[in-house]
Amino acid sequence: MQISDRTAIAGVGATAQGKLPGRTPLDLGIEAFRLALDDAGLSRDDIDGLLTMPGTTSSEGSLHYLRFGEAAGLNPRFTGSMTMGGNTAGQLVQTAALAVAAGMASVVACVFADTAKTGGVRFDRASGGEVPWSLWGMMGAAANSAVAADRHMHRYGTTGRQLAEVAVACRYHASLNPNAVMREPITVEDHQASRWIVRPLRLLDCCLISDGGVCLIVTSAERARDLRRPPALIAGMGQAHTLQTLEKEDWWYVPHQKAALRDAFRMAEVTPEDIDVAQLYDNFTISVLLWLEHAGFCGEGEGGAFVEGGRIRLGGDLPVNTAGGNLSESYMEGWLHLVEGVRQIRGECGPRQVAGARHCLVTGRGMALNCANATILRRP
Amino acid sequence: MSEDRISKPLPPDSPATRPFWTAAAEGHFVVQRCTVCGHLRFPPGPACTRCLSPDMEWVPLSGRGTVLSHLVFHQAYSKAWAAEVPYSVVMVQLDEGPRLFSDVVDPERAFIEADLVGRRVEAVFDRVAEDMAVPRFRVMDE
Repeated sequence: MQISDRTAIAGVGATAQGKLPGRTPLDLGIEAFRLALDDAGLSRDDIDGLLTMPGTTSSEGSLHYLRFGEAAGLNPRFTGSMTMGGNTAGQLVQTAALAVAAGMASVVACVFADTAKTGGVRFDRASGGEVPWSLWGMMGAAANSAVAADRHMHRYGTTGRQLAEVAVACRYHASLNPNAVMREPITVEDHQASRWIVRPLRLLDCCLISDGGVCLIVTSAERARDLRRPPALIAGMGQAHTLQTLEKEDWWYVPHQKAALRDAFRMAEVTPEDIDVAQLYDNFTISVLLWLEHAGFCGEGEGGAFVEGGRIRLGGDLPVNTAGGNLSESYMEGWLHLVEGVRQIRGECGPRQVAGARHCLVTGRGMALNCANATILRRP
Repeated sequence: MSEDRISKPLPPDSPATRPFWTAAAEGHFVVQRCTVCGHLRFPPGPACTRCLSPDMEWVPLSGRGTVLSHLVFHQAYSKAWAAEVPYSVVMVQLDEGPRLFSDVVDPERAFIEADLVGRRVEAVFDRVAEDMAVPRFRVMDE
């Protein structure tokens, strides 16, 4: 079955981001859903598919689709909820695309909302199952990426100043995005002066913690052509997961990402040279280096050198996270990376637009470095 | 029991992992060995992660290994660790193959500014109940 370019993201919606006291994940999700419908020029009754990711403060867990569907008045043909952390957004959009391509749904809403900021969520999960790593104080999302950064530094000579380049680029892009939470530009020295969280990661290596809601609407390319906005075709999709941790020697290097990217490039029939702009999942700065290496923008171990000299800033060879990313726009666990990808493809990003962007790579990664996906969006 | 263990949560007591903690109380670092293919696995699980056989035996390892990664936590993610920060966590490559995370015995906070990657370490056992201990690692002299 030919999948490439058969489906598209036809509508995107994002609420205000940041600290939103008094809001709930449910009402933020509904608002994002309404915004996405309006963006696409669709009505609620056009939706026959619903895929959701429960926020960290949503009590429903994997039953979240039930509560959201009830609140939104939806009785879809195709539904479910998934929890893969920062991998979920891309994985759900890809699932929606597969359902549309297979004829099991015609218009699928993918929804996420969270109030992690006002809810005081710490992202303190520990892996290890019955021998929890927390027994030794090894917990929190930062720690897993700190292993990746520490190993990368020892193996390839990557430096903290190189990690800083990622934070600086994301913040610069956020300064051009009126909806970003952190808009004050920073320097490499600011990064180096920020406090340790889990060495070798500093405060400015870390993503934000945010409230907000996001919705993406997936439909067939054919139908998307007749809607309100230019479609962002889903040209390439790939997923891969390393579910083992300690038993997999290079777990920290997230080797599965290579497979997810390879599949996405292959499906879209493009190469890294064709990518005009990229939204690379940045829970921590080190993650961007790993994506750049795994995608083939540079060689293994060369991510640190690649991000120097403004190469991933607007105007550089490969602008990355043009809305500010998880590090500076808002921590919507990668959902806003897809929104920005769509907006770049549509050419509606104003001062942060990459001129003539035709292909945008969007990636997602979640859990203890375990789960990854890559999506390539294409302008028709 | 060392002072800094008192406030920590006890290991979850499950039949599947109890031998690990009780062996630690007797001064041994044990892992499961598949009696079909010989694979040493950690963490403990119901089947061999290489051949899926449920047949296994617990075998003692040397408890020695090399530090693969050294993190220093300045952020306390739970109350149990609030009094400890900054503290070191290491990913240890055991000589016999398995890997694990552990903290480092460092009462003088001598390793907070250090880089332990590549250093040799050895398990020591911190008793947390009459028949349960938690293995931690001591940095061996160079």
